[in-house]
Amino acid sequence: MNRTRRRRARSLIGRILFWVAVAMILLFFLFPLHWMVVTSFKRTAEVTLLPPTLIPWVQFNPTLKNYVEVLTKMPAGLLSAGTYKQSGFPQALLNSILISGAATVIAVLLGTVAAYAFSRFRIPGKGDLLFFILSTRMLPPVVTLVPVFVMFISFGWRNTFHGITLLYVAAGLPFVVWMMKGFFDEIPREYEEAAMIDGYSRLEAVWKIVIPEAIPAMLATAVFVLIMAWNEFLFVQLLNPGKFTTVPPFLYAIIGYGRVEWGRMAATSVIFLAPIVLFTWLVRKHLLRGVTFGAVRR
Amino acid sequence: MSEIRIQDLTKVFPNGTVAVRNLHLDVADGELLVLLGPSGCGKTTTLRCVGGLETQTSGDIWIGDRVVNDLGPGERDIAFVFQFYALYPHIRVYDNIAFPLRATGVSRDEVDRRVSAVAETLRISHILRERPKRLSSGEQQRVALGRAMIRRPQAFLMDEPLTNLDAALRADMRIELKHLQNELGTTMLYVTHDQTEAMTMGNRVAVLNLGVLEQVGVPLEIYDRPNTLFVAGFVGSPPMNLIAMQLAQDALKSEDAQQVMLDTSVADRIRAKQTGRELVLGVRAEDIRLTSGGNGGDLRAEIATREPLGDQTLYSVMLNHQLIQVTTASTERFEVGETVGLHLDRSRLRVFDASTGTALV
Repeated sequence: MNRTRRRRARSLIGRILFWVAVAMILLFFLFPLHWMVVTSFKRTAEVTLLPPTLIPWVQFNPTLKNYVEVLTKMPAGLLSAGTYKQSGFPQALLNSILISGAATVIAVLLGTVAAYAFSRFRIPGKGDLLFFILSTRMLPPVVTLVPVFVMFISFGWRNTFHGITLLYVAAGLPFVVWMMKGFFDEIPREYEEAAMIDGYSRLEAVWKIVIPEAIPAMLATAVFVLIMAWNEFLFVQLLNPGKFTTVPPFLYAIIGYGRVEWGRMAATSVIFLAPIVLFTWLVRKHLLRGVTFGAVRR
Repeated sequence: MSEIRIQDLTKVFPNGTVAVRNLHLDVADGELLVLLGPSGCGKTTTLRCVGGLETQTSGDIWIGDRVVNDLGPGERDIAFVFQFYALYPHIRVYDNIAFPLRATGVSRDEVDRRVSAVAETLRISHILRERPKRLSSGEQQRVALGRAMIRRPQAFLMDEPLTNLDAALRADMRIELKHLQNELGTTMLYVTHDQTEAMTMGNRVAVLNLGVLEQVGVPLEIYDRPNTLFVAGFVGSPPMNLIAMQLAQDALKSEDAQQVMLDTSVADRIRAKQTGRELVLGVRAEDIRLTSGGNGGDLRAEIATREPLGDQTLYSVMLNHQLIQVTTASTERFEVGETVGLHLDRSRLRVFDASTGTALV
């Protein structure tokens, strides 16, 4: 009796400590996000106040000024007060969505097909090929910056939609191939064999049986590829400085002349963050299933 | 329904493993033939070759009056039941069963009618709307059978279909499956490593070892008259007792010089066929009778263990450093350590050539 009570008390303390730890970790990771969001609603003068104000309505009056500016027109700069220029942000955001989206879809589709072949068929030099595919991710991307730049110039791919998209497809493919091969290896090949016995061709069997099974894995993989393409800064900054630039270089460009426009940058970042958060949230169920795919009972 | 003929089938895997070697086997129309053997004996590979899931290295496979060597699995008009059932997890039971019909473009009404009929036969009408994951293994097994039956194929290929069921359910399904096979008159090639299944279900049993067919025959023939040492040691629980012997005139002489007298005609037959001096005497546990004292029997041995099984008692007796299994009626009682005489039933003895492993008598 006494012992159970003591044990219960100990487990209560344990649980409290656990949640305190969780709260502290969350605070640590979410605080920058919070600061970014509140900054995006501040006027320029309030941004650099010390000590900083963190609670809207209580400590400062929120404003949508930054959002309006990045989405429509923004002041041209300190020196030319009173003049406004068209914000490039809507175009950059659209570019980001189209380029990352296209790259993700293409990389996941191509990679899935390749992964299925690697998983199911006897391919001469399979191990070497798989290693080669992986090895393209082994050197730091910046090393390939100059050759890729030269290649893009000679192909006339600078400042094009398809050039940068293809680059992101190439960067995403190894990841997709390896992830999806792992998933396919876990799907018993009896499924396709059963469908083939039942009178379907292999292609039909894959389409009707394997792909529906692989969709969670494909979505989980897509999240990673999307985030990679979405966040990429270096290559797009160098290869697409013009019309087809994406949000990360744009964000860098609006730091401001003469002073740093923190509020405007924060607002841009919040909008930039939203689509990814939304997509990840939409596929969250599949993410868990996709990542724990290996745990199925056979 | 139709027969399956396997002619001179050999399958060598790319890594050089010979899985099946020169196999000849016929499954008659409406027959249930069991392929029995330990894991890695080539039984599943044989089945997969018949199903078209593996391509044989050489040899012909006939299903009905067609050579199916070059036909894909879908064109062979067979059904295959997998050990893990391979039910499609993302569609309902109804659609799982209807899946083979939809490949052939059968009308919706016809699909509905046939799924209902099959579901009724298998008593799974109440779970047609479920997804496979929610079913018990017994129900999954039935659904897999339903998917196999729906197309009314020429033959059924079964790859250890009962292995994943628990013991009680396995016994039930054994009877039911056999009943179903009788009822439908299907030709069935059935792979298992479980000899109880083989003995109870098979019209005939083919025993495979290391890719080679050891013996094919009706179950009791396999049990009573094993043709090879492998079959003698593999079939039966306990397996046949195998005792090293040599022929000395009209008797078998054990290593410790005990003698089992034989008829002159039997001894002559052994002498005519044997290739070396070394022989192996095979005798089933139930074909040995024990008597106290040890002077009356063919062989003298000492009781090592006693295991009462209820209906009978299983004794292990020590004969020249080898344990021999003997079953007796549970009313007979011998003490551990007691010296007993072993009386062998002459009509049921097997004598094997130790060097070739084949039966001489």
